[in-house]
Amino acid sequence: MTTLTTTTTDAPGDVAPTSTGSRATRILGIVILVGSVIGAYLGLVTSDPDVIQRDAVRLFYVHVPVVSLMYIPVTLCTVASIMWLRKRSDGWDALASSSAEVATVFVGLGLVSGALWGEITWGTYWTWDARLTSTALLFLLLVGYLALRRYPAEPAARAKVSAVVGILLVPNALLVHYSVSWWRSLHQDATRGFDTSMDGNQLSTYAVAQGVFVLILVWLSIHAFRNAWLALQAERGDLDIAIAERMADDDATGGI
Amino acid sequence: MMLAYTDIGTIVFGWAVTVVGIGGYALVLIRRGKRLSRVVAPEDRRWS
Amino acid sequence: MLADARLIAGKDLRIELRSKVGLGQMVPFAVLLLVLFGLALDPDRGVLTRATPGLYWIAVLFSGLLAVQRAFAVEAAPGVTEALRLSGIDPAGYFLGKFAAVAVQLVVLQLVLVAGVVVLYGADLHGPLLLVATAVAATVAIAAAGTLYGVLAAGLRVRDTLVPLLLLPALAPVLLGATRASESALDGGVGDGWGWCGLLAAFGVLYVGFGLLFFGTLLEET
Repeated sequence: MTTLTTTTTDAPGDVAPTSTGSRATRILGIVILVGSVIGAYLGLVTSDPDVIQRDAVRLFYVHVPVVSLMYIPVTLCTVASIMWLRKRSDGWDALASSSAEVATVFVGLGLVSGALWGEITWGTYWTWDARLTSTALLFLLLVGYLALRRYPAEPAARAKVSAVVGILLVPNALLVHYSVSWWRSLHQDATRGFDTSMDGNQLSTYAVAQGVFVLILVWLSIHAFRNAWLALQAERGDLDIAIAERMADDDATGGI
Repeated sequence: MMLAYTDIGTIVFGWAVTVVGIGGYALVLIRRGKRLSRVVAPEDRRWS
Repeated sequence: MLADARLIAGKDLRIELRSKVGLGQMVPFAVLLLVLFGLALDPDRGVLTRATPGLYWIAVLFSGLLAVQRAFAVEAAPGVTEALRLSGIDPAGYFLGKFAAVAVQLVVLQLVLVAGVVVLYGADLHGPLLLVATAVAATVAIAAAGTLYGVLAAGLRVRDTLVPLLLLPALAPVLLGATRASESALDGGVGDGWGWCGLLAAFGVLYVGFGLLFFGTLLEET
């Protein structure tokens, strides 16, 4: 238990003057750390089991905030892509790329925590449930977008191509969502419900968790945006360094 | 304190994946940010 | 715009007729897929018959990828993009031309694949009207999305790896719709075949719209 809470979420910690941190994000980071510890204590220790879900409700405290927030960065990516086509400025390009990255993390975590919750509640990690299937396809769409962004290319050409794919992200996600929902609704076990009856103590725990995850989304988005911005400036300033960066990144992730 | 509830392994694993996922991504962002900050002029880092 | 489209489509189809690279590889590949599905799913257990619509559309999707990649490989020679830009061809016309050339190749491919499915899998073609409508709508959808994502990759000089990763998840609704509609037709009108066909048509219209809208941006000089 103690090991779990002490390792909770992000640690801005002692930041050197040159970083993507600022006073505001450092304060935000400390609030998140404290909030995560409180949230973990409430969710894992003091929360009562749900009447219907029993203890599986404890996974809800991380799963529901993640999936409820994941559409925000996805939409942000499409909006930033549209704005890039209009303004052609680095800021919008950096916003599109960073939101897609944050979105991928959230969608990925939503899938994993959802699968674990399904294992407890439905007895299986995966069902071809409408929500799960369309989320998995959304994840693949995002992975494709990030692969495109990481492809070594001339920055201006990459920004242009990424913007068009970014604009298509939301329409594609909607098409996938509606077609998959329609498909599954033909089957008897269409969408498996989230049967729950949260009351007092569970509701307040969930509220704390949701609040912490909103702050986490903000913190990650700010830092990811500054990262993307710096990457663009570095690329512009010194192409050689940028190439070295990307090769180092590729080595770290096993290449594209 | 007693933490005897059903499916404790899966639940703790779910929390751990979330913590490691978000925390790991945050660490990646911080480290990449520091590395990139070194090669970018201060006027392009207006937040610090 | 339409004259430009005819010009580009004619050029691409003439290249294919003379070189026979596209169809010469695409059609055998599609037939190969049908044979491989047959090996993987034992024909005697009835799986193959029940899965025929799905396998057919997967074969179309994967072979269609080859057509898309071929369509932009012919433009990849040095200087072609610049020459196109200087020629004053309307970007929307260029998109429509490319789209039409890919669509025509997909139609030829499907004629062969239908024959293959009938011969190899023993499929009975019920509900021909719905089948034809589905094939037309799905062809438009695949060709439009394929052309749009194909030129993205051409602009970055990314070759064969990125296009499937971007295109296939986006085409998931098409696979779903085309398979459901074909199943409905083969089962003699059970299920909402025409509804799925409508979904395919909407997808196609949407992507043709996107193509007309964004092709100018994608072709412009950076």
